[in-house]
Amino acid sequence: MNNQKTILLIEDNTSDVDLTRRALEKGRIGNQLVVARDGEEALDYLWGERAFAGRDVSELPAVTLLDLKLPKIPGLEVLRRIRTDARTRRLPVVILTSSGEEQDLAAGYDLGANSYIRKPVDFIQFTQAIGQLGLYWLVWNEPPPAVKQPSQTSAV
Amino acid sequence: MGGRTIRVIRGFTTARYVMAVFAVAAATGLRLAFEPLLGSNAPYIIFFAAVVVVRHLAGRGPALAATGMGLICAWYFFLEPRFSFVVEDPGAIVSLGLFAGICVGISLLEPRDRRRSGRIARAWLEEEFAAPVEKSTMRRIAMLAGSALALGILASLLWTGFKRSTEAERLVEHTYQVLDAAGSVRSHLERAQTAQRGYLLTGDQYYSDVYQAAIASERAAAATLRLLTADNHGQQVLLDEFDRQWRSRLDMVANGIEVRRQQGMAAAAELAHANRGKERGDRLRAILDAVDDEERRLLHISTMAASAADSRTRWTLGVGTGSLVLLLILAGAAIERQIQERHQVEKVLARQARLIDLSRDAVITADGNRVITGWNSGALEMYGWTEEQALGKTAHELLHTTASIPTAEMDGILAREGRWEGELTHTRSDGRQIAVEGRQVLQRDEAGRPIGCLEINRDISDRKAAEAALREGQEEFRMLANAIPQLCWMANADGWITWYNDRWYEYTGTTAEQMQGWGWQSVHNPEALPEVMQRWSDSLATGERFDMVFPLRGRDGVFRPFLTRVMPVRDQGGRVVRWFGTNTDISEQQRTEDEIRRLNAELGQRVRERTAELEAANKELEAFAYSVSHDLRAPLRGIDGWTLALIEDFCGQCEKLNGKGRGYLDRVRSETQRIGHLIDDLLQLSRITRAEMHRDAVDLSRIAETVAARLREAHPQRRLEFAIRPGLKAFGDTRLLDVALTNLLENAVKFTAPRTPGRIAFESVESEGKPAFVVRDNGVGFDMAYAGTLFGAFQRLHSESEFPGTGIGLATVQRVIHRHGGRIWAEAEPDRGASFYFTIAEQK
Repeated sequence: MNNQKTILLIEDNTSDVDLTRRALEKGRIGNQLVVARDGEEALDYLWGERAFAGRDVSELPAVTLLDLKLPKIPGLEVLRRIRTDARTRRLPVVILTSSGEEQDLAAGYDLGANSYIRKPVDFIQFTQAIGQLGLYWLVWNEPPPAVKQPSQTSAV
Repeated sequence: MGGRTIRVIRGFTTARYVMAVFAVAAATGLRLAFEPLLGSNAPYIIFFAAVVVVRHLAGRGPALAATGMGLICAWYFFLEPRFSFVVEDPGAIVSLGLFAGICVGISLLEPRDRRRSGRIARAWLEEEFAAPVEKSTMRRIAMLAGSALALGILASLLWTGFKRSTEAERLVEHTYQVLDAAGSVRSHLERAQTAQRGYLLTGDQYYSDVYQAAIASERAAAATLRLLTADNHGQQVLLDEFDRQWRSRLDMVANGIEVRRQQGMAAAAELAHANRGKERGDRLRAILDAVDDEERRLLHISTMAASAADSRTRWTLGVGTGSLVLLLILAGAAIERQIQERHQVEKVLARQARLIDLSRDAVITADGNRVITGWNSGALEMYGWTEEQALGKTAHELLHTTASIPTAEMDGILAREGRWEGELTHTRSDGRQIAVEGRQVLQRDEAGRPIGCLEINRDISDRKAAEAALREGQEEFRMLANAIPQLCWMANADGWITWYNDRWYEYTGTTAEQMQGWGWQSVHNPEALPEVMQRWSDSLATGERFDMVFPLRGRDGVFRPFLTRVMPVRDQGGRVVRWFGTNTDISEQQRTEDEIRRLNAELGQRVRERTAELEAANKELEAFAYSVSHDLRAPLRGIDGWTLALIEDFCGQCEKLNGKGRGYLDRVRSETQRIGHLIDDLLQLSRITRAEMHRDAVDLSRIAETVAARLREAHPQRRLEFAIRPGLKAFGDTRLLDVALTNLLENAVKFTAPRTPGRIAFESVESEGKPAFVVRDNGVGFDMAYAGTLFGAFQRLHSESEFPGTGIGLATVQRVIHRHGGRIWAEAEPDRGASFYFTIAEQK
């Protein structure tokens, strides 16, 4: 396991954060889990702004787990912004949500989600899903090449 | 028959009879010409020929006339004794009778049938042909006059000739009488001389007596002679001389006789010897001889004259007869030509008569007293009376004429004006009355007396009936027109309005005088009028119907909108002959329409409001469903997750938790997951209800196959036998039908759990004449008593422990089927399997 790689979890529900963390642990994925409690925080983190100013934004998470129902900036809007910004355009984003609504699925994929996982109520299944997901994105998936952008450095 | 016509016919007749006269005259002439050859034989032969010719050329009447005339001529001229009507021989009477009989027979013989040639037609058309015929009549009259003149001259010549011959013969006779008388004088003179001489010689008284008698006879004869020659002066002179001589002679004789009586014989003898008695006697004889000679000379002259007269008469007779024959031939030719013309005319007449008979009008001719003389087949057909029944009666009595005026007055008009026209009522032979249009024309002779009447009648019963029907129709039309609530009117082709119904006047409060023609403009709104005028003019020009709404002013001064429709009435040639218009007050209708529009607008507003509300509610529902989907599940997952964490992390260390506690925790988890399923199913049901339908041709069999494959995979431990009929198709929304079939097949799999193998079929059947699909299984089935609750949400017929489920599946299926306009029902028996039927509405 490459421990330098981080996993960004954008989730406002504490219980779900803890359960996710527990599931990752159960799946023996020890990578750093960065948790953003809302959409704004997530974007600040990714773009190194406000609370995360000075963070090296070239260090992109190996995978971002995005809940759709988020305070401040909703999940789909977050995804749209991620995809419109050159720096995060190629960031692997997996939507992890309770919603099985068709319009959410369609909108998620349309906005460029890399995967869409509906959280099962059964925690055993949930654990399995998270474990396999981590394994897949952290181990098997080749991350996208970093986007070189001169404006990026000047902005920092 | 006009006077002119009658004259023409009389002219014809005259010509024919003149021809008969000619023929008989010619026959007589010819017979006379053959006199030297025939003598008193065959007195009639030539007259037979004349009668035959006349019969052929001139007809029956003239032939009978020729018979009569021939009889007279033959009798007078050729039967012995000639030139008299005295009959001595009884055979002659028989021969006359035979001649008359045969000739009458010839005359009456009918050479051809010329009887029927249309009496009426002849009456009419002879008038028509009168003018040309009259021209030839003038020529013919001139010819006839010439012929008559020639005949007269011939007759007078013949008469003169005959007279002359008779005179000559009379003269010869006279001469012989004179000679006889002279001879008689001479012989009596001789006897007297002889007796005188005897007395002188004998003195016998006897001789004296003889002498006296002879003298008396001689005086009588001499008187006769004087009488006979009274017309000849020379002879009278001679006779005077004779008488003188005779008297002196007689004195001498008387003297001699006296001498003898008184002086005796000797003196007498001496006297007898001495006197010149002998000389005197000779002188008397010489005078008589001179008379004889004169008479003989006259005889010679008379004989010569008689002979000359005879020869002249013969010539005259020959030339005259020749001329007569020539005239006869000419007359015959002329008459033949006339007959040809006549035939021609008759042919035309016959044709015209046929035409008249073809006429369906009754054509009736009558004489001056209105007695019917002609009756065509139209009359027969119209009245039912035959010509035979009609002839001899008057039309009035036969047909029971009635008219609007008394028949007497009608006849008066006809007599006064020469014609009458009008409608009559006549009664047919069967008693039926018919309406008749009659025309009567009176014909007068030259003196103005009525001589005929022509009556042409036409049966107009049908027309009258039609007129009555028309009147009735018009009456009904007026009633109808005044009964309807619309205003209506009629206009001529040029738009001039001729009639309005009462409703028009009631509404507008106008009068017919005000409205006539284009008066309607006064009740129009001046602002709207120009367009009305324009459109109406266009319709008048094109003949197109007129439709327009415009206001008309009522008697109360208020304008109300009227829907006006004007239809052209066309004749058979398609030309507009009239316009028929209606104006319908649509103010009420417009008010209603306005109301409807207002209500519609309100309704639309309300619908929009409701729709907006509904849309808002839908949005809320969606939001709710979204929340349910997201927020309700999240805590469940937490409960399940932390319960599991509790089990995993602490059950091993805590004895209490590992026993009963573990069971409780497991129950918490299973209940949590059940709520999760329930939420998912409810969400699906909600989605099904809200989802938009995209209908298309759907292959249900393929969907079923896919679902079956999925179910086999999901239940690898089960033996499942699917029998899916291929090619079952419906028209609907693929996604929704997928949901329905999935639910039904999942149910079937679930309820066949106790069966090995579980048999599941998808096929189609026919239900109430429509195709229905069915999913059958050999599962546990159910009691049909509960079938009614089968499709309600959360309704379950089995316990959760027996067959897990939320009770929402069939409700979802039913909703899908209903959204497809179909019907769903089930048939089952406990432990005998179940069948779920559904239909899907056909494509529209």
